[in-house]
Amino acid sequence: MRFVRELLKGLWKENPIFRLVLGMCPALAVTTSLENGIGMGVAATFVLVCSNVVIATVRNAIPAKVRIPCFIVIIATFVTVVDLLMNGFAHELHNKLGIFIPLIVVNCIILGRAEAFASKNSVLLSLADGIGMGIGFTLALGLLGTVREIVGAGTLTLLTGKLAWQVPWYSDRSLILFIFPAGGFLALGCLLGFMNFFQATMARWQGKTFESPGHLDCRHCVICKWGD
Amino acid sequence: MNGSVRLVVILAVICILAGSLLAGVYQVTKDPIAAAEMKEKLDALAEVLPEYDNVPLDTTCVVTNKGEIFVFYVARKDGAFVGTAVEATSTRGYGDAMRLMVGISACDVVQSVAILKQTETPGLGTKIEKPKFKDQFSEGSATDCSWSRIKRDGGNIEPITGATVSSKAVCGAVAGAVEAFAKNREQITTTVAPPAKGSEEQ
Repeated sequence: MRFVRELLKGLWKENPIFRLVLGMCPALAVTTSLENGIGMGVAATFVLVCSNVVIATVRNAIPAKVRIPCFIVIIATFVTVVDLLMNGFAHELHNKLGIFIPLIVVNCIILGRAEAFASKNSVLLSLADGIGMGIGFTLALGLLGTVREIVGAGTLTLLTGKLAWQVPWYSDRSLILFIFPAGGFLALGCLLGFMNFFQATMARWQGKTFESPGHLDCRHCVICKWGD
Repeated sequence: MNGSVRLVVILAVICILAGSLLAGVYQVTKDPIAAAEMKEKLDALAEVLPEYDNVPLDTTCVVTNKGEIFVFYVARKDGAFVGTAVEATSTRGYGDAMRLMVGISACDVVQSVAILKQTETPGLGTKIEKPKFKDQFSEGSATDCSWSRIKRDGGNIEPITGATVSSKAVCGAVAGAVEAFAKNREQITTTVAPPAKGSEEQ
């Protein structure tokens, strides 16, 4: 039961991108197309699951003082494994994702889950947490990539071009801005806003009040009050 | 003291385990990576060369032009020279160094151009990979490189709207390859494969 709960929380309630707002660097950098987003998500999921399981296994043997170096060594090992495997067996994707693969080492989701979850929970629950968070991350990157590819390039491609779809008429005059980094921020911001709106509407419909997460609303920001 | 020794030992053990895992994965993936890179090169060769029956990767001719080194892969069919492919690089684009493969056929025209690697601006500069742009280089003379410039600079190439820098980088790389070919034509067309070194080499 707990296993299922830990698995599902990463999909929506604690989705790393949309709820925790972690791992923004890969989320904004690689999601120029659906395929890149999913490729990055799968690679990060593999690393996350492996590092969660290994760290949960050795959590009692690692002294608290050197836990961060130990975690980083374990994570970096799995990232290098992914880098080599991808280079050998998915060469085209590896060419595209290029420098972003080594950057998974410093992806704060992975170290964050190691520190916040795997180092305190059993192997089985850490596995569930890793899979759930990984799938949530992949879905979020896929969604962001889909939006940016359709709006920015007017295409949607999967399987290195074997499944390709072009928006008729639009693909020649698409908003290239959405492929650029600035478009990443715009798309992410719109998606976050839409999700908050959706949740607020759902909550009102059920007769509850919806509290948006503290880091996503106006409460922490003082810009509007500067003149007072 | 005892405490810190324990920390060092545990960290060392983890590093050793991680290192051996990496060594194992490296051994497993070494050959697939080399094969994938080789296939990439062969695909590009097949794309830019006419039909051939030798091994262009073994039949190479290295020439230097303006301080740049060019490796010409010579294609032969029934012993006769049918074309050559050369890897050209340009650092004048917006992204990393751009690598392309230029194929030149036996009748001294550019057969076609393949982009091996480019990191230009997505959606703008990446259009250099589209046939509409790339095909402009086909049938260009391989004895004189003055045509490989954008129209504004007196060449024949229509640049991509909004990506003049990337277009110019491709033109420059092709021109460099053509010039190197024109200057060393004799040497390249007569290159033959070195005698087989025997099958013991892996």
